[in-house]
Amino acid sequence: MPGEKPLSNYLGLDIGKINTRAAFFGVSERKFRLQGYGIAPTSLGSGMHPASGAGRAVQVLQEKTGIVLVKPSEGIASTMDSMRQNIDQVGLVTSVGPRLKTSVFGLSAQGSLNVGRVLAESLPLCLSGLFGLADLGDESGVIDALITIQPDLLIIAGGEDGSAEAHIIRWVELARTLCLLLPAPSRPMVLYAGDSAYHEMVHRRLEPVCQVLIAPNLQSEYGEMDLVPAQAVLDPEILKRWWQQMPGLGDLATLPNSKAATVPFALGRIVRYLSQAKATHPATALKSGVLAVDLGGHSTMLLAGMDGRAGTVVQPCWEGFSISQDEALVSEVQKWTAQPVPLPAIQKYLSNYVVRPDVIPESLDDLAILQAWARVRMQQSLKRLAMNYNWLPYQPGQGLTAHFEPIIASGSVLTQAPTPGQAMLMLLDGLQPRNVTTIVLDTYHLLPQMGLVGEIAPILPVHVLESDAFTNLGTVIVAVSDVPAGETLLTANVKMETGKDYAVSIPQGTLRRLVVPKGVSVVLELEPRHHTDIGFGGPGLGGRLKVPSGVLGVVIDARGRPLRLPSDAETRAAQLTRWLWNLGG
Amino acid sequence: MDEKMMVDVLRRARDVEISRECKLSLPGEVLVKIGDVLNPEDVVAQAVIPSGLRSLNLARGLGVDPSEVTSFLVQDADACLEQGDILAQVEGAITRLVRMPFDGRLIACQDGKAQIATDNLVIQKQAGLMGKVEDIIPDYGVVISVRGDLVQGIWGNGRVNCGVLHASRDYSERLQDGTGLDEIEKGQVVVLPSCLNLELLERLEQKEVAGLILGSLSPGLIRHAQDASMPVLVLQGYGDLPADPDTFELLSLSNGKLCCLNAGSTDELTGQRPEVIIPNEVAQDEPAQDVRAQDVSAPDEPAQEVSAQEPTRIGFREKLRVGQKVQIHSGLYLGRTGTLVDLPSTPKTFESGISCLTAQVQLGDQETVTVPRQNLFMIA
Repeated sequence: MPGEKPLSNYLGLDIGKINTRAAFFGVSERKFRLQGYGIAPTSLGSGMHPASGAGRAVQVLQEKTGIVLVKPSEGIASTMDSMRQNIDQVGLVTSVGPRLKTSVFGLSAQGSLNVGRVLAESLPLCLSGLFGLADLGDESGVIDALITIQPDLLIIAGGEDGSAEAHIIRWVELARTLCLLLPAPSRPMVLYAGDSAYHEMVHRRLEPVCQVLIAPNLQSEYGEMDLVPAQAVLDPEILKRWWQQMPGLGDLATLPNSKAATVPFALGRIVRYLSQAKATHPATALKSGVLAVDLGGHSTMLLAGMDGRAGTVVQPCWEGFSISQDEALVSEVQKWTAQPVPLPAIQKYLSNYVVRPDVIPESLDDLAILQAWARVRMQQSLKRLAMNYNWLPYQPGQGLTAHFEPIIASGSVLTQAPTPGQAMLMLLDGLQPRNVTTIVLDTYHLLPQMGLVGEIAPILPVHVLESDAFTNLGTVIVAVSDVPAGETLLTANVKMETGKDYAVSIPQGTLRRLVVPKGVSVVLELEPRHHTDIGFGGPGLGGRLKVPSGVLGVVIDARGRPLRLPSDAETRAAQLTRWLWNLGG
Repeated sequence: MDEKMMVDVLRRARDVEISRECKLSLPGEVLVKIGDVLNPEDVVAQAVIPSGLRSLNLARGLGVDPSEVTSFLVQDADACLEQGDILAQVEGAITRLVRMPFDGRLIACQDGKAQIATDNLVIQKQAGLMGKVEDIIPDYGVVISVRGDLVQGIWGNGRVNCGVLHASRDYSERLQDGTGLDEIEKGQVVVLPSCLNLELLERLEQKEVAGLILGSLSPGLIRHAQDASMPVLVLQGYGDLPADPDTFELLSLSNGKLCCLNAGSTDELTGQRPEVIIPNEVAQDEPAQDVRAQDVSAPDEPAQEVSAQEPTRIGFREKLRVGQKVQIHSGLYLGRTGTLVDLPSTPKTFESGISCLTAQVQLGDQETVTVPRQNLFMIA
């Protein structure tokens, strides 16, 4: 049993809507390392077995590495037998299932209703109705609305612990009435995450009529939101619903040596872990957090962790065709398009992209639109994350206003960008980070696996995260100052191991790249001028910084915050292209 | 094995056996039986949900504490009651009782109040398709089978309807410039190579056509098409795209026949796509190919096993093979169909800078183009 002997290998399966990935981790030189990776299309469609896509991904892994985990010609039953026998632990993360329709019962719009909404937006749930105190005046109307919605999940939130808010009882009774009206198979499961004084009452009233989940109060004191326990209660239930709809997926997850989680839940766990590790780091003088972004084919996930707190937002890329039909949004995409593409062409590209988000852009125009859309997705998700979590240091238009390091990014638009500079520029424009940070690309989409396996083998993520399984895209130094454009705001003295030192002056409004040869590290002596803030403790403060080699070396972003783009489309596209060339094209 | 050779499939075929699930979203009663012949408007299943909830304060009526009310109820939960029926009663020197002030069904009683449903919400599922009931899905619906032509598209506005197909090509050209509108009759399903202006869409809606099948749709009209009262099906893509001659030929051959247009959304889990089904008018004797959205695995390949050979199908994706018809979904050739003539083994770098495996597609005009394999739909 996994618990009785040390873990020596781990197979991570990641089943998405488009692709299924298999990653094998083993021990090499007393450290866990990524030893093989395979990818195959996800097998979807009624009657199809998701394990067949997983089996193919494992076979691709085997063909690439020579590692034998399953026999090449095995069917699903034998594949799963082999997994049981040859692999210590199988981890399954997935985002393949439909978002569960979710309605929230709460009290005030700014209080429990808001917290319930934030919880729904942190998991693969589809918010379909928020009902607050005012709605209790028309209970019949609420019931009719819910019968129309037919929610899969009802979240009841509200009341500080011990407040014995009587309205909660009415919501519980309304949930009970709804369940009595609906046929048993169509009744929603109910998550109660309000005043803990009512746990017994909730059990007594609701358990006879529906599945009841109890979680600690989402907001036991006003302003103190804790979603983690509720997320931990909900995530397995979301998976169970998915298993019911895709029985083969459930078979994978019920292997005796397997664990499973949805991708956002697993990501949330690792981001929380990393932020806790930073929070307790004695060398960290500044308040600092961790950020992860995943630009998937169908949704954007953005996660931030700071001081042991973590927030997640899962945003579907579009609802219907909203991206192509929202003129303001299309204009925003145009603003970030590094080619002079007219609005109708952007609208056409995005409309067709919704049909097949996996298409590869052939032309420069198509690539520019796709990458502009990636920037806008990140900006939108960041705004939403800040709206949901008030501890996140963020200002609209200015991006993040505190230190986040590392920033870990995934999604094919980033990891399969034609050049690393394009990936870097998308992330800088989309997130507008501050101070000094490291941008890491999660090319193999391993971060969710780290969140999953961390629970049973905490050392595995530690080893893998510091290995080359993740790509260090580069170190970014953001210099923010009020000096006029073109005036020097920072001098960087670059101390090379080879002794070939040099100095560079960074003018306001520019983006510069300092190449760091592969395998060496450099020391930067940073001298900000005119109260320029580079995150060394305050405006005008500089210091020494040791930088490891990354794909792009060091990027100094002195373009200012917020980023300002020329209003003229041609000039704007030229500016974006110039920035890109500064990062190597 | 090259996994990138698996692409999404659009079914466009003549004279095939088609099976479709038709079911309620919640359990109810199935109203038909195996073997029944259905018309599109036939209701195959229905569910009845009590609604119109009203609250009766029994505690006040009985003059008792709310916590005691349940012990004075004389009706069971779920009982259907008529106006005047006694709901609760307190015996004593002076008997107190509460009668039903209206017809309804007792749902629950809590805190001294009775919840009464005064109405029913009837949710019905129509067949939406001509065909025969092949199987019953207990409590939910049926599987309907029909033989005919099948044309799947890339997008639908979520609506379903049936009507007589109006698919003459020269007519389409006249309709496009507005001169052919008079020929349109209410209840027809109109086939057009494209719809690029709002006026045309609005005039067709005013004509109360039963549905619209488009080669392409202007991106600016998506919202209008979404809100249209009739089903709208897009076959090729968004923009001003040249019509696919083969598909329009297939539809033209069925001009004047009854067709069933299901412009529902694509569902990766079930393999369902928006589609038009044109049932055969006369039953054919020869065996037909079996096409099921619910079970798209090849008949000779068990869906539950990875076979020893390379599998040819993954759900609603299939493996590309030279000689097959494909539809391009990117770049200059967006929406164009052609025949796959080669799958080069070395990647190509496109203008975007992205390097990937490609497919060579011979278009109808004999021009051969190179596109990323991933950007194809297979036409099967």
